[in-house]
Amino acid sequence: MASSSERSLLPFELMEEILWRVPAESLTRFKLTCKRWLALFKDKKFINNHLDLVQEHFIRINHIVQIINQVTQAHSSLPIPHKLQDKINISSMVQCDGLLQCKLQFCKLAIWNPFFHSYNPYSVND
Amino acid sequence: MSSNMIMLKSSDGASFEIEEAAARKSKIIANMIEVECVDEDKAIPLQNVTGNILALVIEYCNKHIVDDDDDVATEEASEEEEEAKKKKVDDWEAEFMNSMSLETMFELLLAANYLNIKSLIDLVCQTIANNIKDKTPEEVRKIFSIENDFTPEEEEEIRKENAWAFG
Repeated sequence: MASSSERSLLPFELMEEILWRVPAESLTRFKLTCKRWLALFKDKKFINNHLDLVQEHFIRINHIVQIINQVTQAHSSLPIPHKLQDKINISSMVQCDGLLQCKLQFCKLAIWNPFFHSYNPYSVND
Repeated sequence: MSSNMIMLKSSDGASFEIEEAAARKSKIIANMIEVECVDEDKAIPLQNVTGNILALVIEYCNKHIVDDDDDVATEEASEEEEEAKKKKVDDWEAEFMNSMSLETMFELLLAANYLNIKSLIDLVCQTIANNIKDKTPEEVRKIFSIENDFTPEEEEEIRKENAWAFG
């Protein structure tokens, strides 16, 4: 059997097709692979293809967040971001493509991506 | 009624006989059959595929011709039958990919891409994706023969921004 140094090289398009099917959490870790991958993960076309193929997930929120893959039953639990704690009203959350829009006090809103642990507040009265 | 058989020849000279219907899973071969009127006694040469990989491709195509041929009949099949059939195909595919090394998967993916067999490309990509999802960036670089082109400072920056993922 060939050693890894003799492994056939895949063209970038095929690597990209593989990465469309890798869960978002792993992609965050793979940002460190090389500059080309880091740029790829920010590319709109890549993100759309990834969204089309990603297996359906179920997000459950109470005092923690649970992301559950309905096909494999795998699930991960994460804490609610510190900045959002005690401020969010779960019943007023709106979700789209795995992003959650949270209503905060004083007409403030935030977009929260539980997969990427990122959180962007914005104001609606601008 | 016996179906037409055609011959395929790998890059290292191995010949394989395959039903035309199975070979047509490959868009490239289907095209050759239509445009070039493949001679019954003459093998189609496949320059980019070695014999051991071609054998896998043929195994896959043979398995899937039966399933796809039932398209007309399935209109009347019940949902349960449909589901049972899908489960059977899924199990077969899992078994088919199960003992394959990453090296073989890469070669099979290149062959499926060259022969343009969409469903096989999907299957191999998904299997490789499952295989690498828990690996570290260092392991992934090795698998894909990628060189790390980040400076230590850039690397530190990305680690800091995504600290939770590297925990």
